[in-house]
Amino acid sequence: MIDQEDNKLVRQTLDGNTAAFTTLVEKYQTPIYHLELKLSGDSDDAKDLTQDVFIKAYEKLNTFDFKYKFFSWLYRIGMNEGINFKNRAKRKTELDQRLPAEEGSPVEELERKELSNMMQLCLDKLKDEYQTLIIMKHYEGFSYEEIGEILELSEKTVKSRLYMARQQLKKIILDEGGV
Amino acid sequence: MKQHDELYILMNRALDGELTEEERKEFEQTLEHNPEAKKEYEELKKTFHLLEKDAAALDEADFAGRIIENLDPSLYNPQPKKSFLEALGLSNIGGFFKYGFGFALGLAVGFFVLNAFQPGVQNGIPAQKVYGTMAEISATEALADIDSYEFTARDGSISITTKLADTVSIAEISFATNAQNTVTIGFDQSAISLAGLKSVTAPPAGFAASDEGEIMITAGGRETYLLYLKLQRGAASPLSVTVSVADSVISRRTLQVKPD
Repeated sequence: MIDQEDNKLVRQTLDGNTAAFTTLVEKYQTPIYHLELKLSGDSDDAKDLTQDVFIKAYEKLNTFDFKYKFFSWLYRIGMNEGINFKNRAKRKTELDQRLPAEEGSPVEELERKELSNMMQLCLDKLKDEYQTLIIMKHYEGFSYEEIGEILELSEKTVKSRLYMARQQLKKIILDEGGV
Repeated sequence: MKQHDELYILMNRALDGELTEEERKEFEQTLEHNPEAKKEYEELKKTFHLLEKDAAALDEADFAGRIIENLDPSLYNPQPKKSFLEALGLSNIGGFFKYGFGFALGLAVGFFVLNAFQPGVQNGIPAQKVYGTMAEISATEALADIDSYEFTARDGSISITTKLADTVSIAEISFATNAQNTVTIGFDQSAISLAGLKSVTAPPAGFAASDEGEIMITAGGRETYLLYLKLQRGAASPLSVTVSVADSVISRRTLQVKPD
């Protein structure tokens, strides 16, 4: 479904109102950042990639087709940027995915970090398509309908591919001793 | 095998919370009598749990300011609107009336001039959708056909016909994709200084232009675009234009440049 509020903000941006684009950045920076974080495995790279995605979207905004959902368009740019980066970048041996500074004992902190590193290693072993499906469903919390809109696929296809992705991830986690 | 697949679908639906009460009871009974399936279900459940735990540890992004700082605010700045008289170069209205023209006549003339000679609108392409040097890329008269290509690729099909003039070429690109997707037109900056892209099949179409080696658009289905290429002076043949859908290059062809 088309988000009329987003489309209005896009039109205002094209009319020279940069503040309208600020609203779009504030609204969507977190899902794009999470996507880039799970694709790159590094918070600094993810921040740079998130910035690149929004800059690219801003520069190409005059090519946006109002028949479609702005967020789906933006997310696809994010997927392309993240996957291209991932395939380009040499994977760091030491994963340094920063975690939120929450209250918790150092042991809990360490456990979270360990889990995060282990999950990142496993996710990286999935093929790009499966990795993005897992990110969208399990990290972003998108519905099957929303994933279908972004990927231009039917819900049925999304489900069948995600089931495959989960099956492979389960096997990888087993091999890594995580389950 | 089919039975296993159906059971695996049920496992996924159960963990997604999609089973009805009746389906859930039946599913639990099936697992009770199938220890292997039960083990698989437990493993999948643990995978869900790990994903959930990892996702919960992600922090919110809070760096919109840094992103905004890096945007070019002049990119979509509206051009200041000129009054009719300013557009006509008649800002001194007193002098205008001194010579005996009526105000109504002035308006009529101004209206006619603005509609007939809108600055920046050439070949039906609205200037406000363009950044870059519109005058250069719209100078496409007196073009000569030089070459054409047709080919198909796994993810779609593309045909390119080029017409080259002195420094500006125009290519017609048609492609079909199975779904709405991001299409990127990449070009060699050392040979092409500026490129513009306009849809001829999906109005209302904007005009995208870039001098940075690529143009990215969202497109789906069967579409045709006019690709304007402003060649670098003395650019040598061959030119390379790459059309890719999402992150996978679906075709790569070389456009041969021939002198007029």
